[in-house]
Amino acid sequence: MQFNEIKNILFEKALKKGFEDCEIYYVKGNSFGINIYKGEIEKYQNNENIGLSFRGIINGKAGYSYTENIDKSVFDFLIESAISNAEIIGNNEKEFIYKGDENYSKAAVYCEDINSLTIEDKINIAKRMEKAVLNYSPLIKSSNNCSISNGEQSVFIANTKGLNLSEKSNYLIAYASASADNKTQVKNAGEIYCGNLKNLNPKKIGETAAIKAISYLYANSVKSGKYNVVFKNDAFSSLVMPFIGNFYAENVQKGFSLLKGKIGKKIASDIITIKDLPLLKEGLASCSFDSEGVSSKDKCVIENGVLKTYLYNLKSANIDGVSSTGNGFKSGFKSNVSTSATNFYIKESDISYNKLLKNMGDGIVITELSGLHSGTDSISGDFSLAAEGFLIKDGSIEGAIEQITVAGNFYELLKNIKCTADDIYYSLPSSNGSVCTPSVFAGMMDIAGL
Amino acid sequence: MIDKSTAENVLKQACNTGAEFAEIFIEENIKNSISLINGDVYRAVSGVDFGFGLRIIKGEKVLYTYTNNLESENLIKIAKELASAFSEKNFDFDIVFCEKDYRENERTKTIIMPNTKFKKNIVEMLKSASNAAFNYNNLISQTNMGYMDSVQNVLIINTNGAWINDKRVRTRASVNAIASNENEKQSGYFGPGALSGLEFYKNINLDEIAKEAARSAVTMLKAKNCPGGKMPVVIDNGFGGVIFHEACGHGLEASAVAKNASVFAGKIGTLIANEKVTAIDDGTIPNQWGSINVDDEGTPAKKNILIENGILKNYMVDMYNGKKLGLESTGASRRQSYKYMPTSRMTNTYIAAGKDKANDIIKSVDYGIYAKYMGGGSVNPETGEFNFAVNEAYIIKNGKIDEPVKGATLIGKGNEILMDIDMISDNMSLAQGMCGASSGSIPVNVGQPMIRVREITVGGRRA
Repeated sequence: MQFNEIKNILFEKALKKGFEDCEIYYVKGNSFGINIYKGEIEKYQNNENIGLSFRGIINGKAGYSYTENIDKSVFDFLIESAISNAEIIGNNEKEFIYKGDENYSKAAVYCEDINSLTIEDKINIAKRMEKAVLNYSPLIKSSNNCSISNGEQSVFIANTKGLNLSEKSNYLIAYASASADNKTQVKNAGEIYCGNLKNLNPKKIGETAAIKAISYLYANSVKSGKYNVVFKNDAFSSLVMPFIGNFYAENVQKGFSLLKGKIGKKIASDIITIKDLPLLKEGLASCSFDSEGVSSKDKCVIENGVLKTYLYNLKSANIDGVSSTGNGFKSGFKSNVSTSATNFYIKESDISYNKLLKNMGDGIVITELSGLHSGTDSISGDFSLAAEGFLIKDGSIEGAIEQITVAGNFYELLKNIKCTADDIYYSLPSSNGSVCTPSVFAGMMDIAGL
Repeated sequence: MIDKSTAENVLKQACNTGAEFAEIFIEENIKNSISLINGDVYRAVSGVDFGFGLRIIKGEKVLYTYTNNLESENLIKIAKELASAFSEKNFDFDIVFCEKDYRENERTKTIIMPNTKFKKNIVEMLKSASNAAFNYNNLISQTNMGYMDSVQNVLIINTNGAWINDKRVRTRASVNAIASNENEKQSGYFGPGALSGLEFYKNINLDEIAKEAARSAVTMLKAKNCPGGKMPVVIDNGFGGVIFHEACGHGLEASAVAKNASVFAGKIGTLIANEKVTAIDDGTIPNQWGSINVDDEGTPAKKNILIENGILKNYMVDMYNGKKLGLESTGASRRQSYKYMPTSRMTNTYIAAGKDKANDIIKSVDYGIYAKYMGGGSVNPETGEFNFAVNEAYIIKNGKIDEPVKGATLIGKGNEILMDIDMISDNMSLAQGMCGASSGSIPVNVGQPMIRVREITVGGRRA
C-alpha cells in the first residue's frame, strides 16, 4: 500500500471513531552490511523495513499504536489500541498535533556519493581494512570484525492539521577491530568511520585499530588515589551521553533533573559552551524537522558556563509557556514522542590534543570507558566506570593502564573542566542524539586500581 | 503465516547457488507497554512487530535478509537476490517438513493472556505500587513504574525439514523509587518478569517490591562514597548472579569461542574456576523469564551444565558455531526478533547452591564490601575484562555489616575472578534482566546464592 492510501483510510476511520486530530508517522528503508573474516565474506546482510505509527488525540489525550504489518486488516487494531491507550493516559499529559512551520531549513542528511558503491566495492573496502589490521605488526593476533554497512531511510509525517513532511537520509559506516597479543596480555580495540565516501580511508581505519590495540599492551593498573585526568574526545562523548537527558524540559518538569531552577545560573566552568545543532553539516544526528514536524533550529544550551535553555518538545514547551526548540523526537517509529538532543556540540578551543596533555603535565588520559549503561546514575550525575588509558608524565605517554575505575559526578565535572582541545569527535547517534566533543582536561578525579 | 509450497520454494531458491542450509524465521509479536511517573500514566503504546528473516549458510559464510512484506513474490525475489551472493551449483534436494508445535507446551503454559481489557487493572496495580513507595518515607520524591507484555508467535522452517510453531508470552513490571534531598537523588529499582501470562502478578506483591525499592533509595541517599581499591567482596543472591553472567557467561558463548575470541576457548575439561563453583544454563525452568520451549533455530531448550566443581564442561552452543567447534547445539540460539541472525546466548544462567552459610560468609570478612543489590554490567569476552555496578552496598567491618556506601563498581578479569570465588552459600535465587549482544536484546535470568570473592577491584570515590 502507498503512503497516501494508508493515510486516507486511517484518517477517515479514526475521525469516525471520535479522534479530534490524528497523525501518521511512516518509515521505509533498507540496509546492507558485510563482515569480512580471514579474507572471506563471513556475514552478508540485505534488509528492507517498513513501519507505521499512529497517534491521535481523543478527549484531549494522545493515544499511540504501531505496526510493521502494513495491511488493512491491522488498521482496526491500530485505532482501537490507540483509544484504549489514550483512555489510561494521565490528565496532565497534553500532547499536540502540529500544523507545521512556514519554513524548513534543509539539513545535509543525504550523501549522493554513497550510492555509487557497488557490492564488489564494499567487499573490497572491508578486505582492505582487515588486511591493514593484520599486516600492521606481528603483535596483531586477529581482526574479529571488519565490516561495512550502509542504508537509507525515508520518514513521512502527515496529520489532519495539514502537515505533510518527508525526509530521506542515508549513512555509510565502516568498522575495523584489532586484537593484539604479546603472549602475556591480549588487548583489543576498534576504529569506526561514519560519513561520506570521499573521506573513507580503509587502510587508515585498519591501521588505527591496530595501533590502538598495540598501544594498550603491557598495561598495568595504578595505585588508587586522586589523579589529574584528560578524557580523550571519544571517551568523553560516551561519558556525556547518559547525562544529556538532564537538559530535557520534560525531565526537569517531572523532577528527574537537578537542573531545575538553574536557567541563567552558572552550572559549568567559564570555558564550557554547549550548543544543540540539528543543521550542523558534519553532524551525524542532523535533521530538517523533529518527529512532531517542528522545524530544526540551532540553540545554545550552555554559554560560557551559564545554562541558557532546556530542550523542548511541544508538550513540555506548553507547560513552560515557551516555544518548542524542535527537540520532540521518537526514538523509533514504535515510540511515543519524547525529547532528544540532535548534535550536542561541546565547543572546542584552538589548542591541540598534545598541548592539552602538556597542560596537564602528570596524570592519566582515559581513552576507553565501559559499563556506561550501568555505572552511571543519570539523575544524581554520579558515575563509577571501568576505564583504560595511559599514564602521562610531563605531557608524554609513560605506559598503558588497565583495570582501573574513574569515579565522579557529572555536575561537578562540568564545573571542574580546565580546558578543551581542538579535536572534535562526532559520536554515532543514539536515542539521545550525537555528542560532538573535543578532548577535555577534567582536573582531579578519583581513580581506583591497586 | 506462510504456506508450505511458498516456504519450500523460498528455501530451494535460497540454496540454488550452492548453500547447504537455509532457514526461515517468521514472527508476529504483539506488544503493550505502559509507563507511569509519580502515579500518572505518561506513556502507553501498543503495536505489532511483523517480519520474515531468511538465513543462508554455506560453510562458514552466512547470508541474511529480512523484510516486512510477506507476499510470496517478494519472498522469492529476496531469496533469489540474497542467494546471488554465492555462485556455485545447486544440489537437488527434497524437503519433507516435520511439523512440531510448542504453542501449548505444559512447561510454559499461560493462564491469563494479555488483553486490552486488563489495561485499567494494570494501571491500578502500578498506581498502588507508586503509593506504596511514596508512603514508605517522605524522602521519596518520584516514582517511575512500568509494565510490558508481549505475545510472540514464531514459525521456524529449515532445509532439514523443521516446521516449528512456538508462542512466547512474556510480561514484566518495573519499579523505580527515587529519594531526594537538596542536592542529590538516589534510586532503587526492581524489574520482576516471567515467561507467563498475567497470572504472574498474582504471585508477586508489587507494593512490597516498591517499598523495598524505596528503602534501597533512601538508604543510598544517606550513604557515604564507597572506598576504592582491592578488597574482599560478598555478593548477595539473585541479581548478584550478574557477576557470573558478565565475568564468565559471555565468554562461554560459542560465538566468541569459535573465533578464539574468548579467554575460555580450548579449555573444556580443564579447571577454570574454584572447585566450589558449579554453573548452569537452563532454559527449561517452568515460566522463568529467560526460559524458552525451543530456541530460535528450533532446537528444544536444555539444562546445560557449563562448569562442574570448577571444571569447564560445555559452552552455550548454536548450530552455526557448533558446526565450527564440532559441538551439538545446546538449544541456546536466540535473537531479539526477525531483524537479527540468531547466535549462542544465555537463558537462565546461574551458579548452583553451595554448602556455606550466608552468616558465615559475612563473618569471614575483616574488611570488605557487601553488595546487597547489583546493577548491570558489561564484558569484553576476548580479554575477559568486565565491570558492573553495585546499587546497594555496605562496608563489612570485623565480620559485621557496617555503614552503607554508594557509587561502587566492581571490575576484574573473568578467568581470574572465577578462581577467587571461594565461598558459596545455599540460598540460590534467580532475577530478571535484559541482555544485549550481537543478536539483540533478549530476556535472561541471572542467579546465584550469596558468594564471597577473595579479592576484587572496587571502584569508588574514596581512595
